[in-house]
Amino acid sequence: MTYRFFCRYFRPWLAGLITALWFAFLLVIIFIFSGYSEGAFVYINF
Amino acid sequence: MSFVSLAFLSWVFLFLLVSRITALKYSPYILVLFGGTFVYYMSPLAAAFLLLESLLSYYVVRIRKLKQGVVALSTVALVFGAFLLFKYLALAGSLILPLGISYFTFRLIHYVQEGYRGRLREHSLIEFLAFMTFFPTYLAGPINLFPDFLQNLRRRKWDNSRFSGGLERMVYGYAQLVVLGNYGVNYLLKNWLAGSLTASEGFGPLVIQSVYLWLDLYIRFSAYSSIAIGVAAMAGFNVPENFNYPYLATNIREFWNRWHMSLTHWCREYIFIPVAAITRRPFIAIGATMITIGIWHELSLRYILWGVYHAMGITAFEKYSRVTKGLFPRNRIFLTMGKVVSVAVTLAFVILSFPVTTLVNNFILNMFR
Repeated sequence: MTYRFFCRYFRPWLAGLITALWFAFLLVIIFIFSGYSEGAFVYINF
Repeated sequence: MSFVSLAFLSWVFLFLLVSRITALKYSPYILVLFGGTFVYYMSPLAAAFLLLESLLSYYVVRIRKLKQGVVALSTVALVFGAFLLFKYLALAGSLILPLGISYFTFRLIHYVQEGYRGRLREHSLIEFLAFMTFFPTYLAGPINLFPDFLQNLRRRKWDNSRFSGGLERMVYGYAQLVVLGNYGVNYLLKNWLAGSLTASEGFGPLVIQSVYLWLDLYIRFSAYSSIAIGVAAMAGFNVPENFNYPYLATNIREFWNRWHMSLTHWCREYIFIPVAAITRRPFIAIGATMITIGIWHELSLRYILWGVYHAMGITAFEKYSRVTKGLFPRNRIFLTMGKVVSVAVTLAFVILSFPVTTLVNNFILNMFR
C-alpha cells in the first residue's frame, strides 16, 4: 500500500499528502493518455 | 458522464469530501443525494423506474402477514417480468434500455428474497435507497449485497490506509481501461484484426471475433470493477471482487467461479440452490442458472443457446471428472502438463461459445424463414 510505504519514511500527514499528489499525478498521466476521449468510451449496458 | 471524465472524478471527490465532513448519521442522505442525482443525470427513465421498484420492494419486505410468501413471489415475478419486457423492447429497437437495469433488478430480487427469508436487519427506507442508488457500482457492478452494505454504512469510519488502497485500485482500473482497453485492444488490436472483425461469414472470422470480444470484455469489465471497488473502498465500503484471473481456470466450472463472480454468486444463491432443491436434479439447476446468465446479458435466442452451451460444458465436465477420478498418475510432471492442457481446453471452450452459438442460432432462424 502506497500510504503505508510513505509512512515508513515520513510523518503520517506528509505521507498522506505525498500519496495524494502521487495518485493525482498518475491520474493526470492517464487522462492525458486517454486524450479525454469520452466519445471513444462505450459503457457495457447489459 | 463517463467513468473516464473529469466530471465523474470531480463527482467522486466531491462525494468523498462531503462524506468526510458530515456526521455518520447523515451518510444515507448523502449517498442518496449523490447516487440519485448521478442516476437521474445518466438516465431519467432509469431513475424513475428504479425509484418505483425500490419503493415497491421496500414496502413488500415490511409486510409481516401470512401471505407474505405470495406477495414476495409476486414482487419478484413483477420485477423480473419488467426486466424481461425492457430487454425485449430494447432488442426490438422500440425502447432504450434503462441504464443499469440488469444490476438493480438483481439487487432488488436479492433484497426481496432475503427479506422474505427474514435475514435482513431492521433498516430505514433511506438506507435501502442508499443501497439501490450507490453510484460506484450502479453502472457496471459488482452486484453488491444489502446486508454487507448496511453493515458498512453503519460502521464505516475514515481510514487513511484504506483510502489510499481504494485510490490505488481506482488508478489501476483507469490505467487498465485507458491503456490496455481503449488503446491496446480497441485501437491497436482492432486495427490489426480489421479485416477479420468486419467479415460476417465463416467459422474462422467468427473465432477471431470471439477472441477479440472475450479479451475486450475482460479488460474493460474488470477495469470498471476495479474503479467501482476502489471508489467504494475510499468511501469506506467493501464491494465484492468480480474477477479472479478467469482465463487461468482449469475447467469450465472453475471459469464461472472466477468470471463475473458477483453474478455467479447471485445465480448460485437464487437460481441454482432453489431449483436443485425443488427438482433434485443438479443438471436442471445448472441449465436454469446458465440460461438465466444468458438472458441477463441479452434476451435473444443466441444468448439462450449460449447458456445451454455453457450448461452442457459444465455438465460434461462433472461427468468427466467423476469417470476419470483416480485414473491419472499424480506425479508433478503429469500434473503440470495436465494443468496446461486443462487451461487450454477451457479457454478454447469459452472462445468457441460465440461462433458455435452464432452458427446454431443462424441455422435455427433460417429453418423458420
